[in-house]
Amino acid sequence: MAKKTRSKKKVSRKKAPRKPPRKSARKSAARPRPARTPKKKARRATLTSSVRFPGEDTRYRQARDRLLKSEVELRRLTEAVAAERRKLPLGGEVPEDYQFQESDRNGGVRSVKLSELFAPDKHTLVIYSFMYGPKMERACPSCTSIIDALDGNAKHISQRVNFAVVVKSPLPRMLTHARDRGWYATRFLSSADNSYNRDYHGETADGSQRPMLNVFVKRGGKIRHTWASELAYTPAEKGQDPRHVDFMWPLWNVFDVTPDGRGKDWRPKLNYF
Amino acid sequence: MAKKKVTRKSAKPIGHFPKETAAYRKARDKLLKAEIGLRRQVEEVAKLRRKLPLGGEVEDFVFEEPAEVVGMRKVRLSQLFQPGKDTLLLYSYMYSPSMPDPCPMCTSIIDSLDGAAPHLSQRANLAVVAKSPLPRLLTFARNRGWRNLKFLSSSDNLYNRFYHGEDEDGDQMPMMNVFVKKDGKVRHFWASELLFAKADKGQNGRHVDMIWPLWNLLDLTPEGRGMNWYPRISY
Repeated sequence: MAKKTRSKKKVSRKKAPRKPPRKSARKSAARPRPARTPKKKARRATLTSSVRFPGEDTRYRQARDRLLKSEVELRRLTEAVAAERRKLPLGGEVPEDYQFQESDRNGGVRSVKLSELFAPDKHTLVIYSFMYGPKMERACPSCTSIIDALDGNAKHISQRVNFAVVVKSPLPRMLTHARDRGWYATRFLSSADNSYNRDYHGETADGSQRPMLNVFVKRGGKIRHTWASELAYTPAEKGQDPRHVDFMWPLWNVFDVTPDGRGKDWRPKLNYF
Repeated sequence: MAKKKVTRKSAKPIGHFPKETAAYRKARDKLLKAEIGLRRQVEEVAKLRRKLPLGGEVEDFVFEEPAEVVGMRKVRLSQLFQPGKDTLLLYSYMYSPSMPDPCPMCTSIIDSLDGAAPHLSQRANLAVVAKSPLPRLLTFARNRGWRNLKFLSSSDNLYNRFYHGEDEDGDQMPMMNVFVKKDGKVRHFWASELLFAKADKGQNGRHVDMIWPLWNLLDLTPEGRGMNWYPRISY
């Protein structure tokens, strides 16, 4: 983000704000408006206290600075966990070259093997198991709200890794749902005829679908498992959901920055009328 | 797959994946503990955030918003609060009149946020603010296929400047601000100030990762986020 922000500098510097704030106000500590932005060079060199918002009091600033320290630590912890994840040894080789069904773009259905999901220059494959079994009347509303957001990022994600969404329902059923939602960028696969979901914990022993994300890599011509959102199967904290796919679910992360938080009894629905 | 019935309450991790080795399981279980620790920390920080005292009272800025028939109309910040929803999220989209194109990264964020908007809007008020005149902003949004988010132009007010969506040079900044309405007054609650905190070496600000699935997802892959790739408007 920072890099691009700076690269835009030359472009936008040409135009000053329409109504430049008065200098006296800018320099006066007693009058917090207009807000002070840290000087460009110093912006990333200081941890706190250089940002002010209109009308804030010292009590807010103290609490906000304390929170900011926690936010910085959380950012660091997120990276530490990601770094540990990158160090994982490779998991097992996939037991078979699963055959899925996907749209052939002409309204028909074609078979595609797991190994064929790897584009020539991309050795990582991310697969989300979307809960929509043949016996389910409707697609899972939570999974649907995830893809509602993720579909918009799919074309960006696909620049770096192979990405697909797998459902147990027959393909036409899923494509109908996708069309109804207006999804257009995600690659949907049906696992109706294979045991992928079952093998990779997108399905329980009794056939219930589970919302799992799995990551595979291709190394030396072989496809190996590397990571799954196993957090789904750990005991959730009291009063919480497992939060195992929050990384791709902006909804809850956004509620986390509001005073009301995530709440206890609200869940996304397919439609709000 | 574990033979036992696995439930969310189960204290036992999921068990096994096809052909995994003992070395993998050991490392994965260790990572899982770290992931649980991270999940806990996310909640701790959210809890601390919820305890923030209210920030300053907010000027009732006048924005432009789309309107049927007439094209656009004025709307005050206080009018962005729907009955029953006392929280307002405003994302400052980097798209000023002097920028030939909007920020590609903000654009990739909104690509996803637009899909989340109908759900988010059930609980909170949400809008995207840009400095460009409204018609310019709406043209881009339409061409991009965004159909859910409320777009506002701040071309005639100082919102961006006051809430760090713009710096002293007039450069746009990607800020998320949260406001609350309490006792008839609109107060500031939180902003993604993490942008201004020193980034760790080799990293970006990561201050709006919460609405940016792209990077979070790359965090799950062996190659990670990478150092020199950024999303573009088109590929």
